[in-house]
Amino acid sequence: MPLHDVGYRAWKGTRRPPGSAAFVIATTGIALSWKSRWLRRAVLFAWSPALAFAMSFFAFEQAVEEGRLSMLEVTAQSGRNLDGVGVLGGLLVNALGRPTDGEPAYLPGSVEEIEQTRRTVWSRLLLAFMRAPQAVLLAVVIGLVAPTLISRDMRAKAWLVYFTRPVSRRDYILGKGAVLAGVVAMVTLLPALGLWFVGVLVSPSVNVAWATADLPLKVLISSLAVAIPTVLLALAYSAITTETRIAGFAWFATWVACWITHSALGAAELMADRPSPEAQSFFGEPFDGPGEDDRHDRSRPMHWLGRAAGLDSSIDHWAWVSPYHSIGVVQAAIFGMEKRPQAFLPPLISLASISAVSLVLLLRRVDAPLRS
Amino acid sequence: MISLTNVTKLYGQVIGVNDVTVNLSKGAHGLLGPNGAGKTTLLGLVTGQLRPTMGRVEVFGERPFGNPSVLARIGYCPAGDIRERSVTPMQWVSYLVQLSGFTRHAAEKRAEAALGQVSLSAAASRPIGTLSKGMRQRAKLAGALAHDPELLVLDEPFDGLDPVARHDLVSLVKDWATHRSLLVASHLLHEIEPLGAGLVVILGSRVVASGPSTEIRSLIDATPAEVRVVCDAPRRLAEIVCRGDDARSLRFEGDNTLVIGTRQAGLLAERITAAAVDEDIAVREVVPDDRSLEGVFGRLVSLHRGGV
Amino acid sequence: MGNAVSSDACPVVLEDVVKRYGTRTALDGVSLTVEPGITGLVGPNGAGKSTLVRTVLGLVRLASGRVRVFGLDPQKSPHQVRQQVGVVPEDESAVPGLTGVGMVRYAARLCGIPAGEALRRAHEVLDWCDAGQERYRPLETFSVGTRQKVAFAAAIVHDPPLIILDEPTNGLDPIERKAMLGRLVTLARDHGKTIFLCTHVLPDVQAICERAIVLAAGRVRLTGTIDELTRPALPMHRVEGTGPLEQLADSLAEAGIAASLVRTSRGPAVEVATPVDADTAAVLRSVCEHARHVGVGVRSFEPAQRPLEEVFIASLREAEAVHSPEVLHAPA
Repeated sequence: MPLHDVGYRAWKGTRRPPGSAAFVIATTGIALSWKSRWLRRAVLFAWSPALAFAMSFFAFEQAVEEGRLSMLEVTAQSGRNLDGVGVLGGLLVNALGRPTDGEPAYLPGSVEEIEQTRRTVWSRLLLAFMRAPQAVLLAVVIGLVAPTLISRDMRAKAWLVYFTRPVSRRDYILGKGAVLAGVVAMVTLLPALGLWFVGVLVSPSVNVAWATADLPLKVLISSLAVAIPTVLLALAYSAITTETRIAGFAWFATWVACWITHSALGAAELMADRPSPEAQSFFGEPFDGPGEDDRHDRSRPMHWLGRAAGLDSSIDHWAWVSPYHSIGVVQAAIFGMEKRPQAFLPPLISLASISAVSLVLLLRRVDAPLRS
Repeated sequence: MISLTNVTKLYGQVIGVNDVTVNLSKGAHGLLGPNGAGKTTLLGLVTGQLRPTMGRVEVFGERPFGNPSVLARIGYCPAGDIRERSVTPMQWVSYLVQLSGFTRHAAEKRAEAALGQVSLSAAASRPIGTLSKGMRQRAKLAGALAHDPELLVLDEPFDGLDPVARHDLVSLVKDWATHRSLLVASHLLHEIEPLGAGLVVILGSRVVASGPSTEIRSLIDATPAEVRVVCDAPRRLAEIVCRGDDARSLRFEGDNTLVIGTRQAGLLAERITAAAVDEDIAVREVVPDDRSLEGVFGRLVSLHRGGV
Repeated sequence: MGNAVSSDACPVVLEDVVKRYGTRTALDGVSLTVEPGITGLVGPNGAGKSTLVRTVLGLVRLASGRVRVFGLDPQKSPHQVRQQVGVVPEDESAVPGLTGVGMVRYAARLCGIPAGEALRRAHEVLDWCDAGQERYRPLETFSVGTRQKVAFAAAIVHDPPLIILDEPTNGLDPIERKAMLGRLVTLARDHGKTIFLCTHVLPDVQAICERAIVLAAGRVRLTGTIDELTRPALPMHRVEGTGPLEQLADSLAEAGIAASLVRTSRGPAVEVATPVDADTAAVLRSVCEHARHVGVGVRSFEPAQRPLEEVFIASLREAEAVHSPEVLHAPA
């Protein structure tokens, strides 16, 4: 009989080990999310600050190469735009005459001093980049992706798909978390690493890579510090409700409300105390007080940039109220710009608590319908 | 000669062929299947245009993909009409031969010989656009065999031809295949039956049957089928039909229609004819049900899939 | 080895399983076994069918009792147990954004099948379930029949020896229903799979199940083969035909053959007692003689069976009345 058997066939291959389900959920989740046009555009847009900061690296290294590093601050002070976007200039002018914690002033002569300056400038640039523009963009992009991740599953009763198969809650959360971790990597980690790499490329010699080798590591740890609380919080919001709009709203509302609270509390504190020298530096005015040349106005540093780069030496007592500010302080600590425990411990504890609560919430919610 | 072992071809999510294992020795072979079943994918794998997603393809003992030494021994005549209408067959075929690595002079000689083989010498210098469909098919065929391959692969070569043209082309191909190997794909059994080839039947990306064409033909004939007979004495005819054992079921519809379910349509046809003559029954219509390939093999396949 | 699947172990064994949700007792001392073949689980809503399924999968913690699936404890080895089980849930469940074949492939990968092979196997299984080109469309666009096919394909894609289905023919048209039932029979008969069918649809149970379990209010009320369950108290045959059946019954009774007229869903019929040691052919002969005598045309003569519905309702009524935890086995 020439007819072949095209009936049901058994399947006897080797299966992947337990726990591989997390990888499957992650890759499928990323593929599904990446279909969204808005996500793709947002990720692309998220790289634009990196272009600006790359110019700063370039300008700095040019100065090093041409031996006019010592002239750099003078040029900056005179109001000339060093890198086309004012980032480097702002940074340097801000730091003028204010060595912090034993770091030398920016007036290097010897090679070692150039190295040290480079480390400081690069660290501050990377920190500023990750802490300011990228953190905000990250919050936006995660807000685009995260709400749908779990709440759509809950609406479509996808738990029946997952938990009737060899998939544990841990696999599910890890898998979904990996999707968001991928977003964090695309918006924060990779651009920052890219900046470092650009710096190495435009620097006089490749040895710079070894000299600054700890920076990529700090970027990585910093990204983790961002990723863990934000991913867990976003997933928790997504798991609480079947309406993606509510999850999205809750996410953005958290950031905004906490930011506002933080600003209000900070301002109240300021008005209560007398303005201290640190407070003046907080606003970034030149130490000599008002009444300087008009030329200073053109080189007027950007407040947020100075603070983001870790140049403001005041302790933000209310950072722990706002996730954005907490993450910023913790990142500064990772980069070595903030060494005072009383400054970074409260935010760290705050972030750890958010993570823990979110995790507990997630574990309880993802298979809740099965246990009712 | 050709061997596919557990070959699966996927285009993204879309499946072309699913776990196909086929071994074809030298000689003539037919690939039978409806459109969309995977014939073109299979031919693409054999002629080295496609790389299998899983499994192994071997032609003449080697992988055909990106392997010029194997490809030189294969002649491929794709489905579809020639698109270049303004060139002449001579130019077109000699260009193809040049692509196989021959010099221009050698290519022209071979093209001439090939066009002679397909009886297109007279029209060899006319633009292709002026030729009839049958002549265009013959030109395509010339293009495939001009470089004297050992294996000729033809995809729907008789598509759109009238019976005369088809008959001519069939004898041509048969002739040519006497000392070479042949693989012909088609969706109509009666087109490739005359080639006397072994058949591989492909349906829904799987190979569902393989064997000599006579066995395939009997498989088709043995499939349960219904024949509807319109005559003026259905009950008498029913009585006659009942006497034999080729009818599985009988049903009357209206006053003059008898529907016979059978597994031996051929035998039944003979008996109806005999009855019409011997018993003087006026038979007006004899209508077999859908004997299309999908219908027949679909029913056979459904037996494997839990159908009744 | 504690973790190895024992191939000759019974597919599902429950011993005195008790599960409570707060104050509500969902399973109250349930003991049952599911053998290879097709077993039906019948029960009204709220009987505990879904809880039973979750117990088998290790998704719920028990108050007391023992569960073993192929010899494994689903709470301790959920991974291995779920590798051996395929579930077609009652509620539509989907992963939004996937196509039909994407869904089946995802299911295969979640069960540990490597990526490329998963897609090939997904197509193979979808072919067997007769899903055509629609498999490339998004899940959201599917009709009920196609959705069921895809859900079924996703459940069997990893070739599990135990398949649990919850209302699988819900919403299917008659042709689709027949095809689905046919596939279940093929899997059980030709591939040795264990099918556990949870359903309200008694004709499904009657059509394909070999054994049935009746569950009500968290307890097993009745269990046995379909044959045992539907066998009447005394063996008898049913005669259907045209003509004066009453007279036939009377005529037979006069001749000493226990016969009575009954009403069935197909019309009146005569039930004739056929004791175990009687020669059925002889009884049929007598029936035909009497029938010819009174002018009855016999259309069918076959063993009488109680309809499953009757059995089911009776056991539920008993359950309500008695509230006892005894399990009623069908009369042997």
